[in-house]
Amino acid sequence: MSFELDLESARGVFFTEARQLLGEVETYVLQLEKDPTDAEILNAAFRAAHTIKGSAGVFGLSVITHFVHNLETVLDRVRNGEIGFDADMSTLVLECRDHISELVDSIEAGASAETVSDALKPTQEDLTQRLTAYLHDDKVNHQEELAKVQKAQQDQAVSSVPAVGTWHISVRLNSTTLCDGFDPSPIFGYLGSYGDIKAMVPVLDKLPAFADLDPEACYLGF
Amino acid sequence: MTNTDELLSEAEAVAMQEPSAELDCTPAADPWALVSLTIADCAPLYEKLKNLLNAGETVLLNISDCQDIDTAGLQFLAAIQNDPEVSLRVRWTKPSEPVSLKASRLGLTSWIEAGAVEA
Repeated sequence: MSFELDLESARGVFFTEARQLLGEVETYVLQLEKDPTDAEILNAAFRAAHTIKGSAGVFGLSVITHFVHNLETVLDRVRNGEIGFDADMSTLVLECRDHISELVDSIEAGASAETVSDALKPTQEDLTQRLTAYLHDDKVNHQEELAKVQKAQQDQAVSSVPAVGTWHISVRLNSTTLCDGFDPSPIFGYLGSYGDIKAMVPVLDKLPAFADLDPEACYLGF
Repeated sequence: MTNTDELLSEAEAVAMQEPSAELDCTPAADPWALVSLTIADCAPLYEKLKNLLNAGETVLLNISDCQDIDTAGLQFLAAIQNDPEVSLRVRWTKPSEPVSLKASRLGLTSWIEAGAVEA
């Protein structure tokens, strides 16, 4: 009984601490708008998200844990210099902050800690998709890489000077490839023995929603 | 019935008593500890996950000790991560070295990292 009371009391501390950290996140975003490369502020923003996620996990508030995970991962990529902190991201982080605040309020008011409420679901899905875009920006890199290769090819066509020997290899696999017993991965490994693979970019546009997945069919391209 | 037939029948009987090999995992310790995630594991895992998702459950796959993964296995994890509704409810532990290496080879590192929870 006393343990339950202590746990309830500790949850109350979590809600208070989460609101405090969310307030700090807003301050950090405003500071990053002035200097998007400030490593100290980037680390502080990451730590705030990390702490909210960790504390929510302790109390089984999986709605918050799962949502904050993507935000935390995006902030981790920013602080590692993999992606930049621009105006769009600033807006997104502030919207995430507001959404987490609403999650905290709703759970404290008695809403499920495991399933997002119908009222908050559309916002959560929208924000998650926008965060996920930053996690999967290999597609963007792919476009940049592709543009570079195309430019190199154009330059090669115009100039008589031999261009750098770079090849863009596009691979599309039959849907039965995997269940026919063929795994393309070793082929890519073998290709690597002939030169440097500059980038390996999966093409996932054929990948269906999980509910429609045939786990033995091949949807991949490269 | 010949001796061979008897032996076959016994073998079949033993095989029928063996636990289902639908997933290569360590059930006693962690039912989601995937030692292997190859095309042979994907279909049973998919059915199991689909049932749990339909029941509103969340799942943490343990791929930290996964020693054998193929393109189908990585495609499976990418499909989870690619579906926002599912990626919120199915996550995995820090990937093992074989998983990370294969993911890197197929350019799927960011997908696999995005689905991993911190230790």
